[in-house]
Amino acid sequence: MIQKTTPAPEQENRGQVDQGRRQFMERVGQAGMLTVAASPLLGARVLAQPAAVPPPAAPPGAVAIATVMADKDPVVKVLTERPLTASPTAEFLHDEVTPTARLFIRNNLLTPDLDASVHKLRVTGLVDRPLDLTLEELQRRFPNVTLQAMLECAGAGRTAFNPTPRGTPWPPTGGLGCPNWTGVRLKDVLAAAGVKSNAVHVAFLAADFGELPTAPPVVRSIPLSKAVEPNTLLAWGVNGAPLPKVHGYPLRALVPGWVGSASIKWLVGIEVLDAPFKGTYMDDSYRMPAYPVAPGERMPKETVHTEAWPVKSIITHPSPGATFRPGEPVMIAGRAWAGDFDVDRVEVSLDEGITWHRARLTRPRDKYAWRLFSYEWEPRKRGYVTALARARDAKGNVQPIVGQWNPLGYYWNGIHRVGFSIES
Amino acid sequence: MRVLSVSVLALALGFPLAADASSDDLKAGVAGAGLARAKCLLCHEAGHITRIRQSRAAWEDTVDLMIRRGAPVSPEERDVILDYLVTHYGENSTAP
Repeated sequence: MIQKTTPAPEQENRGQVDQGRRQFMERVGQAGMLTVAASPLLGARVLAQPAAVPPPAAPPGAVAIATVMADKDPVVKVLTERPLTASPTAEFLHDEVTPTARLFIRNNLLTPDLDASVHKLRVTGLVDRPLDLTLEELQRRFPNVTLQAMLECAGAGRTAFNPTPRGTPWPPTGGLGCPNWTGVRLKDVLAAAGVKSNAVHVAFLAADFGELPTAPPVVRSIPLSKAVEPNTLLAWGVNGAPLPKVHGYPLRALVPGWVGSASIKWLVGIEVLDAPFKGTYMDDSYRMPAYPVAPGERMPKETVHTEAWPVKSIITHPSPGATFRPGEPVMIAGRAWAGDFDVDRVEVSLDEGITWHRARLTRPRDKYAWRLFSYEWEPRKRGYVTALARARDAKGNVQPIVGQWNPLGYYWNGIHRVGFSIES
Repeated sequence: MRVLSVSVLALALGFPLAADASSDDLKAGVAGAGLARAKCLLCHEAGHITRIRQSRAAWEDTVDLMIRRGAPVSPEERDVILDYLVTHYGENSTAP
């Protein structure tokens, strides 16, 4: 456990709360979000004090990068520090259940050092009975569930795009993982609050704050239909332990199969809305062109929200550059998943896609868990070999050779290729 | 520098940092450098910029997004920073 060495922002920045709230209200007002501006949920929002220049390694109320990374496996490479992003690559994701020490990190702002004993979740908006729950009340009042589910950043694999768009420089197989999550179903909490008939979207409000008080809060909304899907959780646990601070301690949303930005960390508020939330994490990023654009082109006027991931697979074995001997069987293995759909099949090629072999595919333990595929191949002669894997979902969608380029570099699901050698 | 001390501690603890995460710096001593460094480095390490090569239109989108995300940059400052970024990190710029 990380020892708390700095006061939580609630205590540290009490004098800044009103100012921060006023600034947020002004921003929200400018954006025309009267529903949200009127929300009591904003009471939970705490903004940071102005940072010194240059900013300290860990501003008050935030967890230092070194503290976060001390809990990570060395294969989890830091990609950026401010904000913190880090990931392993495919050959280190062979575990059926991703260990927490190998789960990727994607922060938008700082890692807040929150206190579970005073943490509250407020459920407001278009509900009959607004809720104000401590973590313990949430855990006691609703059935607890544990399920394995994918978490994958919208920009996972971004550096495979050419040209590489700006944004977190995820390696081609980085920014994804599939641990076990423990929490309550969002649908149970929404049912307790009583969702009104004009509800359309459900917004999640996060408690993380930036280096400047002007940084807008992280808010993302999802359609009500996805919010009441039984695998959508409010989670406090990962792999049988409390969430690490960097992964959302003490409470986060978990919207499996969808882009990671929907799975808001450090969750303090849920607001039921009659339209998608309007804010920078909804409208400025996590958007796709409504139609394919040429590589390097600017974002067109017509855009859509990023939601469910398309079908994708990674080869986790062998590792790139591995060597084997002729006659020695080589297991080509990996993981496949398909957003809101089921994986139908995975095929493996060892001749650059001239011939394909159907891989064995395990049953998923849970709807949104990735599936293990494996194909045993016996090399007969020496030389360099490239393994390719392509997955197909139950709707017939197949992984493309190259992901569809888009200005913000989302949804990379091009075929993964791994080269290795047969040496006699 | 506190940022540097994080890197040193990180290495001492044995976990890796990407080469560009903290070891490089924005181009200094040229027009707009002071302003760009003062504003961009408030919230980001230089690697966010130095690893990118993109068009003026793309830099406009990037800078305007940062302003919407709270960067304290006036319209006049925006234009100076934009020229600096396009000159040194434009689509045809060579490595810094």
